[in-house]
Amino acid sequence: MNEFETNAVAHEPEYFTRDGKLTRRTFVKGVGAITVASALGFGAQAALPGTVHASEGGASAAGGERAVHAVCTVNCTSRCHLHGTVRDGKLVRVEPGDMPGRPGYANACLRSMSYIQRLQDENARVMYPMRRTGERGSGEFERITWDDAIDEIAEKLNAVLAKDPQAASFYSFTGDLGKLSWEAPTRYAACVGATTWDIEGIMGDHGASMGMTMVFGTHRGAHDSRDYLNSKLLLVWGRNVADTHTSELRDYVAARKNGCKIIVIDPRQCSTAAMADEWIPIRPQTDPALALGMMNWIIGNDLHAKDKLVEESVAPYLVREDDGAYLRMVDGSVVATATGARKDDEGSIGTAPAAQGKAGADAGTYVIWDELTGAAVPAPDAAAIKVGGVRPALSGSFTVDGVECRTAFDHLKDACAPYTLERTGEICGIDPSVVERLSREYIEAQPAGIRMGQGMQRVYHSYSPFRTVATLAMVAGYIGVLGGGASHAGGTATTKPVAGYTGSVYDFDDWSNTGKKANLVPSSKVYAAAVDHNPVPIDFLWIANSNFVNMSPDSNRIIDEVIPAIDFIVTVDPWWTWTAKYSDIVLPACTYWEHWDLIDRSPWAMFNQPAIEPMGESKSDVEIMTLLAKKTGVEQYWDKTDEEWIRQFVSTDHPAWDDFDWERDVVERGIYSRSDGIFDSAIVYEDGTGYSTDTGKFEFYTESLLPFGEEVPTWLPPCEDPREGELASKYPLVYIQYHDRLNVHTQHILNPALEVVQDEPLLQINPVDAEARGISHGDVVRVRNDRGSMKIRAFLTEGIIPGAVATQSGWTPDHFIEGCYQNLTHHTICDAEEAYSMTNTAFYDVLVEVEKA
Amino acid sequence: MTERRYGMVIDTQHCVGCQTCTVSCKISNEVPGSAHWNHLESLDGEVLYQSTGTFPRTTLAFRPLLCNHCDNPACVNNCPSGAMHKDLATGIVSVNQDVCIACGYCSWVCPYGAPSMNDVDHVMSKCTFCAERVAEGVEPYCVAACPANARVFGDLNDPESDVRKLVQSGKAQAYLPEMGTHPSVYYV
Repeated sequence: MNEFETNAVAHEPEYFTRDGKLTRRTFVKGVGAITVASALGFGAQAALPGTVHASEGGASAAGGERAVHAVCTVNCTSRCHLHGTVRDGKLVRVEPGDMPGRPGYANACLRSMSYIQRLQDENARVMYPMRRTGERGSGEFERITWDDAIDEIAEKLNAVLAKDPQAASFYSFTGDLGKLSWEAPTRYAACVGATTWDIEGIMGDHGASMGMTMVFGTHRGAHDSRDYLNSKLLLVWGRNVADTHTSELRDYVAARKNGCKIIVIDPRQCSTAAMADEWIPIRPQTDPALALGMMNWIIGNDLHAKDKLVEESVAPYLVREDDGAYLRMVDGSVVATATGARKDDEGSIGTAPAAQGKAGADAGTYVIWDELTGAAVPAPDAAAIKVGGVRPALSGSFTVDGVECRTAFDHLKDACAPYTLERTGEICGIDPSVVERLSREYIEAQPAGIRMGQGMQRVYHSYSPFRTVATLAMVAGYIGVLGGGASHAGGTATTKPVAGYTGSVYDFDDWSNTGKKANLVPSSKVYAAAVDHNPVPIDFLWIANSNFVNMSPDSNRIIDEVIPAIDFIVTVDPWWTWTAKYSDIVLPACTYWEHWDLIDRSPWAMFNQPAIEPMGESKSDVEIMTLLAKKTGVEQYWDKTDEEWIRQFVSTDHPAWDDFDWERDVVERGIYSRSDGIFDSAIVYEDGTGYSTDTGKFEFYTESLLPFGEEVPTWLPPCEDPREGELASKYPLVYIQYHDRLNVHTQHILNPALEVVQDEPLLQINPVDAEARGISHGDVVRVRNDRGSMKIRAFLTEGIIPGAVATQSGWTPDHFIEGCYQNLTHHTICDAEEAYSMTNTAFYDVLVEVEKA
Repeated sequence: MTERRYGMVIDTQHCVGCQTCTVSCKISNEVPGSAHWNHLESLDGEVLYQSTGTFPRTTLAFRPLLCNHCDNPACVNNCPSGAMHKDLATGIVSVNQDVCIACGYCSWVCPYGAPSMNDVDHVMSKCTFCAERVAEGVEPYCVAACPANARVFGDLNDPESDVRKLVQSGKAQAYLPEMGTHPSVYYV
């Protein structure tokens, strides 16, 4: 066994290794895990407060301790494999769990370590089924039995189902991303034909997906973070990886030690900026303007990647001057519109795991101008252009069949033109010389990578940041090259087939068989559904894996309008959340340390299993849905225990499981490295392939946004604009939230061991803004706008751009002196986004005023 | 001179201030009450997490602190009961809690704020460099947990160790060497 990995200062760029071996970080070269304590005399030493520790991979557990495993399934999307220790039936310790084949990826953050304190605290947990006795929100409940709870719920639900199944809603979010927990409530909804919600919109992650889908055709796509060992420069743009995706941080550190300059672009000097070479502060909501300014400088200096743009993007595609649509030809003649089939998958792009689709079937109808023949011809693929048989014009005006056209690139160039260094600097709050230097460094790095983060897309017109920054990377020629890319991570899922084998890796057939189908509705419509019954009424609401009130915009509106409009609300949660307090029945859910689950994180399959007895009478989501199924006539779909489901999932003859041993890989290790060694690519879109847009190319010209004048990347002022207008004079400060070291959402709030880090929500404010308001460090301030307010302590720091104030996301009303941050946010529908898919909540597009309280 | 001299090099250039070290030590060593064996300070300022300098030319940097397992430990030299002692085989400084009278002198004289009173059992407690793990050849909890790989642990007496090389190259410097305790923890 390779037990002897050292913590060498620099990492080796081993992209693809599968040795299936367990590794444990040791510091002694050439010495195994041999107990030498007695030789060193520790045995005679006075008892240390620390106790003996269970070892894995050989040494037997000591002191009645047992090694256990789990995957952290809260939604930071790292999904770290955790190695826990149980003593006397209690979890006492959490450490990074092994990642076979990728030892540098083992990680456990401070949240996952301290989580065991909170999840074993019966005062924090929902212990029993509870029925509301006081007013909604009063927190007055009585304990009832599971039988009574399920009977009461079934009676309400059956009445709604009899009238209109879609009037029953099952709202399952990201509190537990294990397959069983995450999907059980929506799977149940499908069984009875009820409504479920496409979650990304209201939670504020969907702008990234829209932006990515516009240009790449798929909503995720990232370079393996080890690829940054190949980068000379890395722009970490709106992403605080150090706190929000800590499993990747080691790779950023290794890249920097390898000579990669790291620049963080963020309104705040976030934790990641602490290890970077440079922090470039940017005004919130202005990231697309910076990307446009950089493109303008690069194109203006003739440094853009002309070959790549011509080969892999829609840059040379001809666009009609009359209506702005792509020019299309069939059999050599111009046609008004193509009649080809649309994309294969017209389903949700919000909830499905990242999947590589196929280019649209009408890809062959687009047109370029061939400079070799001086004629309009069907747009060729990248390979055909590379071999030189055709030379598409990047720029120019042409007349084809009497139709005047220009290239898409010329449209992009025009869109960039207003973004001079001066104007860009003025919009973004960055010195124009810094914009120029950044543009120069980026194009000269060869290669430079960009890691994008959702921090920049919680704005109105939220598709713009990812779309525009990705287009910058294409203009610079960095898409599909080692050390480059414009990456949006957040989960991996490999769907590459094994040659010659057609079956699935997992057996999800029974799990997918639900008889009926759920009615999937964009989550941007959930308030309207409750209040106006549009597009569906909500007479019965089942909330699972979600602190809906705390994490959705405009909480006063939820409490005053949305919740009163819903007749019956059930919340399933491990915690006494704000949402639970507004529910009629609260059911106790298990945490990921207490139930079976599967996490498909190729090349690994990872498993949760009960490491401790469920607290109180808590149950898994599958157990709960199974109980409800028995009372609602769909029990035939819920005929297995949690463990039986997992055993079925992994019981296929797929080569992935050739070496699989349930006892060893599930029970003892909790992680299995697939035998077929299918790994995600180190980079995406290599050789100009893999774009799954309608055109099959990198598509920065988006035809469907023509009605909104948004066909090429643009920057639009925010919904609540601090620059001008009545609102700006009343509320001049931009209020943003950030995910920090303390909390992903609300699950980890004040795990006791985290109190030393920070024990109350704080408002970050620049001293310039504070002094103008007579506010000193530590003062209690009121932050307000027309929707609500919060009372909170001020934290003065030079590490935030003037004009913006910020708090950590995830604190609950219990922790504010008064009010809550979510009182300040708003839910404003964006027409362009609704037309494309659905509105993304503009959580960071909020104006406030701050005053001494 | 001890047989081994376990030491640590902490990379402040890559520390992101997350305090996974603080929390992993607290949880994994089951440090009771309000005691902490690791803590975090601003590298160049007064208030933790407050950037220094003036916008936009600011710095955000941290200094994680733990017992420096000094060669000339002030805590041992000033301990009236003899509870505080240095192990000759490893260089690890420990407190024998059976002997400790909880007078707190060690915490007053330590330049690094390392000894931390166990307010549950009313006895001094401190970082052990995870001696039992180290004896098995496994890194201390804080080292294994650091998501920035900012901690390097090893034997400063071993010419082949990474810690020794970092110290010998001059990249790693002791903190508060003027206190004369000859610490075994160094900072880059």
